[in-house]
Amino acid sequence: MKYFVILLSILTLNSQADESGFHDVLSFNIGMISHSVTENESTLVSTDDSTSSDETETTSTPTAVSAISFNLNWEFETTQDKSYFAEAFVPMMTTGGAGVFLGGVGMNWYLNDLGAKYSYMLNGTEFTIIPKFKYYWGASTGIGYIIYNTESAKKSDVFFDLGIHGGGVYGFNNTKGIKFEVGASRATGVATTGIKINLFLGITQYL
Amino acid sequence: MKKLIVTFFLMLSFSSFAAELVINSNPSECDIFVISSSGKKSAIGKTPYKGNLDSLKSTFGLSGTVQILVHKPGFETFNILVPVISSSDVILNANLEVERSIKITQDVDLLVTDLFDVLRMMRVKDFPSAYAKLERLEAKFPHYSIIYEMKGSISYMQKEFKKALNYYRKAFGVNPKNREAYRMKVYLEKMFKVSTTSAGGKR
Repeated sequence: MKYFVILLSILTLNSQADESGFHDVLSFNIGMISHSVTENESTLVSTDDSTSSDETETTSTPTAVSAISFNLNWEFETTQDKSYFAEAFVPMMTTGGAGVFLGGVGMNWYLNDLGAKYSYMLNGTEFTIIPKFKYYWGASTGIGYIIYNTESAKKSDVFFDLGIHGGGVYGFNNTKGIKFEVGASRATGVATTGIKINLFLGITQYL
Repeated sequence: MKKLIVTFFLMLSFSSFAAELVINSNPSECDIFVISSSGKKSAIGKTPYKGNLDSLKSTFGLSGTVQILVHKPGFETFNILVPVISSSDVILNANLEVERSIKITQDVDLLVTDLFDVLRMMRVKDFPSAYAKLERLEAKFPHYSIIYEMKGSISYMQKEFKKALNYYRKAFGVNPKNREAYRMKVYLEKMFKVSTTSAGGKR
């Protein structure tokens, strides 16, 4: 929590547009992550006392982790049509302690004419253009940690995530907007592989 | 019913995503004009102004980049080229500067008032205050020879003759038509037996 407050303080202190005039964007989102997990066959071990033989070989049974999660996303190096971002996902409400933690970076490409608030100031004159509605697609990558439940045990795994996403932002005033985003990614872990689908709704803030 | 729902959503989308043009100015109550690509100048209102950019585009045939003029008598006309981007609000806070001729008059008025203050201080022999005021004036008006001449006068009254000579020379250098500075320069050069040709030239 302390680090979260420090991060917010740094971002707020740097609340000026960069030299290009385009503003960074911070967004706070809440939504659902659904992560289907399939254990790699080579890592499967029997969790009961029965002995396994060729006839009773253990098979991978897909399981799924669904958790309401919080997402913090910081867009930086914004230009008219693209931006880079760093983001983090943490689970908020889970069933049986299952959840997905993820930190990653990525890039957004804006499909409309202007992707971020632009402002210019000279000799007391200020000129600002704010996109009312913008929509985008992007790609991201990151490292995650998943906790999932099988029929007989609680397990966890570290995975590498690679995905795409798309969304839109409706600006309801000069600094804030409502954001909707949906994404899908492939998660390749040490002991598992899976597909992650996420769907988020949140608030954006121009810095 | 279906038509009603479609109409409602169409109206909602048009009103929600309509781009706004907001123009504020300092001072307020300035006339605002837009100039179309064909060069036609049209008045659209006064500041503070809030209007729909899309309706402006259709009314005045604007496209691409729009030139906006903000004007008020007594102030320099503010002129800016605004790119018209779909679904984007444009906010302009224009700071108009006072017209150049009025600004010069105001500056000269300030200079004269302050020089009278300096003279008053010199009369009561408050030389440090007078000198400090001249220093401030010199920073703002470095090309007025009267300031250096008065610094020279203060130095002369304090019997710092070499310093006074330097100031009179500077005053004469800034404005060779300053007779008083020239007269005092020649007088002090004679006092120190300095050749006039080696110190500022003959007049």
